[in-house]
Amino acid sequence: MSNEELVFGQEDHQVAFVFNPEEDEPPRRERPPKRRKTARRSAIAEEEEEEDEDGLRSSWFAPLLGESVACVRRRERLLEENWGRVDARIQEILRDSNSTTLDGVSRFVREAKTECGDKIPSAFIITGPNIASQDLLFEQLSDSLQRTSASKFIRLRSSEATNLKNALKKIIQDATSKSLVVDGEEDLQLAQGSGRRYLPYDLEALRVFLEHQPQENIFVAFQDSEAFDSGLLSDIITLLSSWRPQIPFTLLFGIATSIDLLENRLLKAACRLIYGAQFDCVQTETILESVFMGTVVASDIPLRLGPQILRGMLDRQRDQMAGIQAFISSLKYVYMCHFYANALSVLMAPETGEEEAILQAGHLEALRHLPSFRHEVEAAVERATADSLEHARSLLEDDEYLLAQARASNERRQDWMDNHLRLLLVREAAGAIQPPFSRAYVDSLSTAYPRSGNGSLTEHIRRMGSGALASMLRRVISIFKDGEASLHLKPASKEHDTTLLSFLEDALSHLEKLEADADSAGMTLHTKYSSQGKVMRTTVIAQRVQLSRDSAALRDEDKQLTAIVDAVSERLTAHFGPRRPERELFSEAWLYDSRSPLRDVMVPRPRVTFRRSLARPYDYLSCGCCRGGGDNAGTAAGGVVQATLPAVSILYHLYLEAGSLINVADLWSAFHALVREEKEGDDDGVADEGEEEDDGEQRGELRRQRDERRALVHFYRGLAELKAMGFVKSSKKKADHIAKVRWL
Amino acid sequence: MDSNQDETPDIPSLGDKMDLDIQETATEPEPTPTPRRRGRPPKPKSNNATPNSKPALVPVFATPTKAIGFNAALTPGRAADRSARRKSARALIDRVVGDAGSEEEDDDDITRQIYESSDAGDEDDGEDEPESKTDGEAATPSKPRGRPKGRPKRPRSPTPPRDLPPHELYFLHNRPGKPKTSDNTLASLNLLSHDEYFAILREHRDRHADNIESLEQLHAESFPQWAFELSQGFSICLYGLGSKRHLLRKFATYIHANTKRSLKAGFNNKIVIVNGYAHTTNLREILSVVASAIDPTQRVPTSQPAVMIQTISSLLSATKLSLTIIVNSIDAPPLRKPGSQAILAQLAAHPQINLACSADTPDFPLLWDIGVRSGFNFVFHDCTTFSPFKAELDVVDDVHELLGRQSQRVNGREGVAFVLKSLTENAKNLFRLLVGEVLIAMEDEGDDGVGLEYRMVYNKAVEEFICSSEMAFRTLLKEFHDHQMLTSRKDNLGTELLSLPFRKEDLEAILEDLTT
Repeated sequence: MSNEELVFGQEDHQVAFVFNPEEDEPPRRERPPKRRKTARRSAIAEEEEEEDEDGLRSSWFAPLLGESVACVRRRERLLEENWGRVDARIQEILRDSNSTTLDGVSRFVREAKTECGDKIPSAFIITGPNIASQDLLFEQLSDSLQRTSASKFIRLRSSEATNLKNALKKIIQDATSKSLVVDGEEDLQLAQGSGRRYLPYDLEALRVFLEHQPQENIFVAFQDSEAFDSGLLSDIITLLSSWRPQIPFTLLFGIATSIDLLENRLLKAACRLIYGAQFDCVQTETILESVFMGTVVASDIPLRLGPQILRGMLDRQRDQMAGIQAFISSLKYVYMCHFYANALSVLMAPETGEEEAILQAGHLEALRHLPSFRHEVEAAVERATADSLEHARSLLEDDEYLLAQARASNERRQDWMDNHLRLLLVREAAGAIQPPFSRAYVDSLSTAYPRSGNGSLTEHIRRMGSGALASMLRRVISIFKDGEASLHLKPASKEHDTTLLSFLEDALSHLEKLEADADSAGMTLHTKYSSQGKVMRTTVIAQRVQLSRDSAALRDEDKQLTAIVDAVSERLTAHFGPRRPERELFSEAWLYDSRSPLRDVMVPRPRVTFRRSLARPYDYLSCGCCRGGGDNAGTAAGGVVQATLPAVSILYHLYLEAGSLINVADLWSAFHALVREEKEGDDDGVADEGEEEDDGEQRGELRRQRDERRALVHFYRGLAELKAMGFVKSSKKKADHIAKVRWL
Repeated sequence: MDSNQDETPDIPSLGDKMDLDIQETATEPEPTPTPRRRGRPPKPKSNNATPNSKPALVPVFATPTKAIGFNAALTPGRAADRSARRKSARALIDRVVGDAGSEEEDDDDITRQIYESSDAGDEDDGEDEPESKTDGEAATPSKPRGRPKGRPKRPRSPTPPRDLPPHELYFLHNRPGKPKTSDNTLASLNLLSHDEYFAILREHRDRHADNIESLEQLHAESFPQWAFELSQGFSICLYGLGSKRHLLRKFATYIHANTKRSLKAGFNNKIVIVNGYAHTTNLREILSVVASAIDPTQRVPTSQPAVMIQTISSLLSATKLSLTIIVNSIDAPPLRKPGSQAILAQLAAHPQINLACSADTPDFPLLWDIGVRSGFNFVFHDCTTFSPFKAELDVVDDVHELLGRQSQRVNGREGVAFVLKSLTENAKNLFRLLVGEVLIAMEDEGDDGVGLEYRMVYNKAVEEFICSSEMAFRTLLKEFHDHQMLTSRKDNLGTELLSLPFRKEDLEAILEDLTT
C-alpha cells in the first residue's frame, strides 16, 4: 500500500455520485500508482478497440476455443431465441394458472355492486406464503379488472403506506395519476378542476376528479395485508367505507395466512363494514409443476437439463420455499451458462446453408474429446461388425463424417427425447409413476427402470384387470398416434413406432372382442396374475372350518387375456430400451447438467466463505509465507498460527480459542507476542552490525517501541474488521472486555 | 473440455468448498488455555490420544514411540494397559526431574492433569461427556490400580474439549457462572490516536500486497461475465472478506468504457455509485442522485422514498437511458434500516436499472426476505479480496467504541445535530451559547482544557432569555449531560466548570450548523 492510496478521494465518503471516469482521470493521473492503473486500463481499452473493429463488443460474450465472431454471435442469438421462447411460455402458464382466481374476483366485483348494500365490497385472496408471486397476481388482477370495466386500480404495499396520510396520498395520486399536477410537496391541484387546491390526502380531491372522469370502481389492493399495521388497516377501511356513497371503492386483500387472523387484528367496527368473499389462489406447487412441464419436460425445448441440476432446483423449491420466481431465474441462469460457456452450443440450431461453414477446427477437436464421442466409438468397436467398425473409424478420422454426425445430433436429441417422454407417459398410463410428474421425470433421467420385477412396467400391467388394460391401451395408442399436447409431444412417426402401434391396436381390438364376449356370457375375465385367479375354499368338517386355496382353472378366455397381457407388456418393455441422455452422441451440445455455478451463484454460503478466508487466507492469497510449516497441508491449519497471516486472520484464530468474554488486553498481548516473535526472527541478521553496545541497545529499545506501535495499528485494524463483520461487540461486564457474538 | 463449468472461474477451487470445510473443522487449532511453551520436546502423554480421535488432531504429540505405546494401551489385555501407563508415567517422571525448577508451573499442570484423568476414570462421572473423551481417559479401558487418589471431587478440567460443533461451543462458552478472564486492562497501553494510526499506516507496506493485487486481478477477469449477467436482468452481489470498493470501481470503469463504445447514440448508459458505508447515507440522498443522473435538469422533490421512487421510475421509463447502480457495502448499518432494502430492490427491479453491490458481513442474506430477494434477482459471486477497508471503517474510533472509551458521547457533528433536533428552541440556543463561549475561550487560552464557569454561563443564559431560573437552566444542562455533549468538573477552588468534549474544528462546524 502506498501513501497515495491512503489519501481519500472526495468521493469515498460521499453518499452517492454519478460516476464518470473521464472527469476523474486528469487529477488522478498525476499520481504514480494511479498512472500504472490507467496504463493498464488503457491497455485493456486498446485490446477492446481491436475487438471492436470486428464488431464484437456489442455483446458480452467471449470467444471460446478460438472461435470466430460468427460463432459468438450465433451463441448469443441462440440464447435469445431459446430463452425467449421459454420465457413466453412461462408467462403464458402463469397467466393461465391464475385465471380462475381472476374470473372469480371479477364476478364477485360485478355481483357485489348490487348486493353489498351500504357495506364495502372486499375480496380476500389467499395467496399462500410466497409473497414473491403476489406481485404477478396483483398485476394480473389490475389488468383484468381494468379491462372489464372502467376503473382504477391502486396497489398499496405496506412499505409505502406507513401511515394513513401516506396511504391516502398514494391512493389519490394513483387514481388521478394521468391528470394530476404535483405542485410542490404540500398540495395538489387538479388540472381541470375549478382551481381549488386540495391537500394531497383529501379524498374530496378524488371525488371532484371522479366527477369529471366517472369510474365504475376504484380498487384498492392491500398486497401484503399481514405487514400492514392493524390500526392503520382499520382506519383505512372505516374511512373508505364512509366515502363509498361518493366514491365507488372496492377493497382487495392479499392474504398469506388466513382470514381469521386478519379479522382478529381488525376492529370489530371495521369488520362490520365489510362485505367480503374469499378466493383461493393456485398453490405454488401446482404452478411449479406446470411451469416445469412446459419449460423443462416439454418435447420442443431443445436445451435439456440433467437430473443433478433439476433435482437441485426442485429441492430448493421444496426446502427453501424459494418461490416460482427463483425457479425461473435459476432456469434462465442455466440457459445463460450453457450458451455463454459452451462453445458446442452452436450445434443446437438446425443449420442453414450460409451458416454451414461456421464450425472450425477447434470445434472438431473438441467434439472428438467429448465423453459421449468416446463412448460411441468404444461401443461401436465392441459391437465389432463391419459397419460399426467403419463408423468408428470414420468418426475418428473423417472430418466430413464427423460434421455430418454432429449436424444429426439435433435429430438424435429429438428422437431420444420423444422416446423418453413416451416411456414416461406409458408408465404413467400403467400407473407406474408416483404423482409429481416432475420428480418422476428427474428420477427417470438418472436411474433406468428395472426391466422386470418390482417397479417394472410388466409388473404393473400384469396387475391390471381387463377394463384397466383396455383403457391403458387406448391411452398408449393415443400417445403414439396423437402425441401429448401438454408436453408438446408430436405423434410418433418412426418405423418401429408404427409397428408397435399397429400391434397395440390389434391387441386392443382383440381385447375388446374378448370383453364383449365375456360380457354377453355374463362372466368376468381373469388373468393368471390377478388375485381372483386363486379361489378360497371353505369346507366345514366336523364343526371345524378348513380353509384351502385352489387355483381356479383358467377358462379359455382367461388364457387369451393372459396372452394379451404378456404380449403387451413384453412389446412395450422391449420397445423402450434403456437410453441415458449423456450417452447420446454429442449430447454435450444440448444437455446441461452441472450444479456448480448455479448453486454457488443462487444460494451463496457466505459463512463458509468467510470462515475459510479467515482461517486459511493462503487458500486465496496463495502466498508461501503463511502456510505454516509447509510440510503437509493437513497439519498446516491445526498447528501454530503463523505470524505472517493478515491481522484479522490472526485475531480470528485467537478469537476461536477465546470464551464468550474476551479480555482485549490479553488479546493484545497474545497478538503482540505472536507478531513480535516473527519480527525478531526477521531482524536477527540486521540487528548486530558492529554497533556499540549501549547505542545498539538504545536503538533496539526504540525499534522495539516502534514495532509495538506498528503491531498495535494492525491489531486495531483487525479488531475493527472483526467488529464490522459482527464477530464481537462491546461489553460492559468488565473493563476492556468485548463479547463474542458469533459461533460459526 | 468441461465447458459447462467454465462459467464461473473458481477462485481457489470453490467447487470443493464443502470438503475443505469439513477438513477445516477437523483441524481447527485446539482451544487450550493451558500455557504451552513452544519448542518443548513432545510430552510423553500417551493417554492424550483417544481411540476415536483422529491422529491428525494432535500433531504436537504424535511421535512415533508414543504411537506404539498408544497402540499397546488399546489392546484389551489389562497387563498391556498397565505397562503402557507405567511407561508413560516413568517418562513423565523422568522429564519432570530433568526440567525441575525451571518449569514449576508446567509441572503442576501436568501432574494435575494426570491425577484428574485418573480420577475421571475412577469416578466415571459422565458430567461432561465430550470433555472426558477428549481428555483421554477413554483410552484406558481398565481401572488404573495403585494410583494415589487425588481430590475426591475435582473441579472441571480447565482444558476445553476440542472440535466441538459451533452450537455446542456456544453452550460451553455461555455456561452460567462468572466468565474466567484475567483482570488485565489496557491501562498501561497508550492507545492510538488518528494521527499516529495514519502516520504508521502510511509507512507500512503489506507483505501480501502483491498477492492481494493478483487476487483482485483474478476477480477482474470475470468482468465480461458479470456484465453479461447484468445485461440479462440479474443483479450482482459480491461477497467475501475484504474491501470490494476498488474492485467495483474498476468494474464501473469497465462497464463505462465498453457500453459507451458499443451503444448507439441516443441510447445512453450512466453509472451511479453509492457508498453504503458512509455515515450519512440515506435513501433520500441516494434517490435524488439517481434522479439527477437520469435528468439533471428536472429536480425530483425530496419526499418519502416510496413516492420518490415512483417519480424516478416514471422519469426513467420515459427515456432510453440505462442506469447502472453500484452500491458499496449494501449491508452497512445505514442501509440496514427497514424499508431501505425494499426500496433498493424496487430500483433494481426496474428493467432499465442494473445493480451491482458488495456485501461485507457474513450474514448479509438475512437482509432480504423472499419478496425483496426476487426484486433484486441476485446472482452471488465470492469475491474475497483481503484488501483493507480504508474508507469503509473508521478503525480508531471503532476500536475505541468497542473498548468503551469515549464512545458514550454522541457522534460528533451529526450526533449533536441529531440530539438538538429533538430538543426545544431554548436548548438549542443554550448549546449555541455554550459553543460560542468555548470557542472564544479557546482563542484566548489555547485549545485544551477549556472550562467555562458555571455561574458565568448561567448569567449569560438569563441575559439572553434562554431561561429564567437556575432550575430551568439545570434541566437544560441535564439533557446535554445525558448525551455526553457536555462535561462538568470542579477545579481546585470548587468552582464548577463546564466544557464540551469536542475538538475545535468540530465545534466550529457545530456552530455553523446551529447558526444557519
